[in-house]
Amino acid sequence: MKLKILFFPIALFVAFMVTIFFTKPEWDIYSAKQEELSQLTNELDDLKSGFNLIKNATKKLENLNPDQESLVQNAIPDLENDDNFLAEIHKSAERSGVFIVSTKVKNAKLTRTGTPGVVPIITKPVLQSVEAKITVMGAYIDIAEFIKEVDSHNRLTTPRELMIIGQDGTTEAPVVESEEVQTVINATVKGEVTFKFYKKVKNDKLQIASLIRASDPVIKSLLNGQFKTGIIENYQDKVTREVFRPIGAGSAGKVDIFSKE
Amino acid sequence: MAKINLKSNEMSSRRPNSQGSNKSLLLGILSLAIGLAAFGMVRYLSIQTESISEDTRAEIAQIENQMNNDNVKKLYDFQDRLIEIEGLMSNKDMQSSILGKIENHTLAPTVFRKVEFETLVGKTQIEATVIVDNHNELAKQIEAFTLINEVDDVYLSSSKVNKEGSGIEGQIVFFFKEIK
Repeated sequence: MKLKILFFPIALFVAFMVTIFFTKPEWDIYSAKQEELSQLTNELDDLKSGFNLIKNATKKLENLNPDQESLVQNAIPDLENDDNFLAEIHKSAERSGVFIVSTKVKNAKLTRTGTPGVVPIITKPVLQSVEAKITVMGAYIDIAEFIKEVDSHNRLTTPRELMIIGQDGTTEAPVVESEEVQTVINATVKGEVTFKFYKKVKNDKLQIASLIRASDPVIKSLLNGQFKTGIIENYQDKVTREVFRPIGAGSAGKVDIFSKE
Repeated sequence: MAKINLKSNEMSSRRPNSQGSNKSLLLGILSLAIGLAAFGMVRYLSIQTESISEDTRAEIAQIENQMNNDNVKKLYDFQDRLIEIEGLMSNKDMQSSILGKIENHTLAPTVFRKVEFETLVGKTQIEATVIVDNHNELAKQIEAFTLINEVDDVYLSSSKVNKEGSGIEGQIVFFFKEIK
């Protein structure tokens, strides 16, 4: 009889214990899952809207002027493209009227490690820089023009050093007197321009999903609808409107490779 | 004959006690049932939530896979280059602009023998060797360089009579703030 009466408090106690020891942890798990679900739902919503923005950006990229696209690809190409670099330097020298005495590409070993074209799947390509030193000779006005040309190359350059030295005995411009006019022959100076140019390997094996999960800033900016085409106009305004046209090798093949003919 | 109460007090209160104990039993079972039901309900909700989460995850993975196409990769690569250009441009000093400003502030009697630029963090150091007629002209030239807006201060590093003995060779150092 007494046991029956005791059943209520015991059952109440058991119910309480069940609530405390089983329901409470289960409630905590449920709350955590709810929070996770809420995060996932937000992530999904963001991803859906981001995907729509990416689709729009893809159309925008397709509709870009081919020259604008080339301007960006030439500014930071996916290969070092020393042929194009040299051709652009030569073009600048020709335009400004200076004579290229020497060209030196520094830090070659540091920046050219690894097998070209082989990029790990997950690794995001990094920007690689190569330092170049160009020595030119000419009148100061022409050298200043050459520096202006290098500043506005389509291949993006960032200056490191510049040295302009007047050549002994020619720093003061001589005046040649003819019968009718006086002509000032500009003093010859030597210019050494040191700057960096860049490349960034293209990795076609990159997984967009893993970039999203890694909160990659580039994919993040695209998901937020910030396709930065405005940079192209800015680059054109500040640096160059002219797209570099790579030169072709022409016809090659000769028997005596040590002769000029 | 005296009446004898054969029922004990305990016996006489049995009926009400029995009812109470039944109630207690019922209430106990009810409490237990409520407790278990609460646990079951929470467990059920938890399983449901997990199932919805799984579906959401699958949908996210599906959209991510849809994104993993060549067009998006091309867009990613292009945007990546644009961001790099933006960063490099924001730190690029235009040497031609600096040179132009120096030209505009060079006095007529001053002849440059050497000028050296070195790009440092956020500024460019200029070291110039100039030939002038006398120290007064050198002083005027230093003053002229201080008038360039982007130059904070101009220092005279050294001055001496030049090799030919026809003037003063002065070494001037100054710093240009970033010129975009």
